Amino acid sequence: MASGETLEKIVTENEAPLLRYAWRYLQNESLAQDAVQESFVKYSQTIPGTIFNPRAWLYKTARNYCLNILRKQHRRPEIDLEHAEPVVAGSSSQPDAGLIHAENRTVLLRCLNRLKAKHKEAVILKLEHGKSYREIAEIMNLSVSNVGFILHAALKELKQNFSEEISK
Amino acid sequence: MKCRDANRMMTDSLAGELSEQQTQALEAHLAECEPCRKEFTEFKTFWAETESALQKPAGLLSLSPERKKQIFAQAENLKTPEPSTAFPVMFLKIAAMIMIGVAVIGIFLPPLFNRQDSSEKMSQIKEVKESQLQNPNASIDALQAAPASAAIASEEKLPAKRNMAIVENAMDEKELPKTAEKDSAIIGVAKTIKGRFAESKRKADTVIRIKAISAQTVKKFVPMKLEADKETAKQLLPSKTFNLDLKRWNIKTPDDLKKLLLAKKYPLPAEIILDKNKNTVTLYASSQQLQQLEKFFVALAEKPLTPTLKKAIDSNAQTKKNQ
Repeated sequence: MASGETLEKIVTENEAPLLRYAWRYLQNESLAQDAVQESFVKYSQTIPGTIFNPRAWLYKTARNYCLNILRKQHRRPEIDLEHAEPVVAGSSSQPDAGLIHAENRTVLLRCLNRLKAKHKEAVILKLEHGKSYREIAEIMNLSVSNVGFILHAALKELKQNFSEEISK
Repeated sequence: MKCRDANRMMTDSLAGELSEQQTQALEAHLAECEPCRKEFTEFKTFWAETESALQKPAGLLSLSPERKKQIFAQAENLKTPEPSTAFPVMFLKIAAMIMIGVAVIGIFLPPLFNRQDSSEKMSQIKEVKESQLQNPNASIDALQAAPASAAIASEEKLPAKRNMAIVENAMDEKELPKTAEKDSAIIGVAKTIKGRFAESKRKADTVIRIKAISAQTVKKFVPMKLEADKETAKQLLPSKTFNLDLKRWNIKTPDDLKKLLLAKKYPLPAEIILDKNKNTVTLYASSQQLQQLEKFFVALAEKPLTPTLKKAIDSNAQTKKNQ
């Protein structure tokens, strides 16, 4: 085990966000489960003391797995927001009512989906998964300052596109 | 602070990545600059809306119970040791690999080396066994050190305790003594290998008898060799009989066949019995080896002499003439 935490704890805490993240890439529940299972198995085989942030490491491993799958399937190696949300058994497929109107939400997600792959992923990791710049940098193989720059540019572009779409 | 810098800092601020000093600087600028304040308020709202748009579904996704089971089962199987014990385990793994390697060489090359009287050897091994059990690690170091000590072999036998003293001494000097004593000392090492080898389930039924090392063996950096007990091999190992034109291939003794097998890099069986009248060869070997050897005999029956085989046969005939 790479850190002092038990594998059970790591699995329990990270399975849901990792599945959601993998689902965003693969749009397939079974493949997403494969990606997450593979990440946990790899994590359990790591040398003790070599992983300082297991959460970021798991995201990165799952991401690499997803990108490999997409390449093998000749699909674009990026997150896809056009398709339906991952559905949890026994719950409504619709997300909870939030600050944004359902129509606007569709428009916003469409705008987000049009962003560059890197920009889109930075926004997802920050606003959906609440990752820090350092974690995003580790997951996406970027420098920390670059993450700030990318996220800022992405949100500015997204905001502008969204305003234009809404005003149409 | 310029408005451009403030604008850039808005993202970092909402992301919670600003230091206290930077936050104060931004707040100071926003207090003074109306457009930036408006921009920040809008940006804050947009941030919250985007967060909301990406909101998680009501329930939580989870791995299937079977997959979780698999994860924990695999983790249990591949559990790595705690840091404090990692080094010794790694060391033992390396030692085990060396021992298995030597054991395999010992099985494949037994007929090439000198033999000692069997009963003497066995009694000597028995003596060494007791000492070996008391200090098994000594043999591992001695095993590593052995190749460096190419020396003359001798028939001289030493008491078990003396043997262990030599092996233990070798641990410090990283080399076995360059005297006749080495032979006896290495028997002790070989005995441990035998013990380890017998532990493996696959070979558990194959009784291995240890042969003492010869000077040639040491020179070839093969510190010791093991030979399957022929009688036991006949009882335990599967056998197979192949048709072979012994005259055509100039095979008169089992050793001739062994040389051919070596030339073609096939495994050597534990026992070979030739029947010159029926032109058949009966081999005692593991089923896996027999499968490989079958290919050899099929090839011999179907194909003409290859240059390598021709060379091996010629050199064999030449050696016999010289003798």
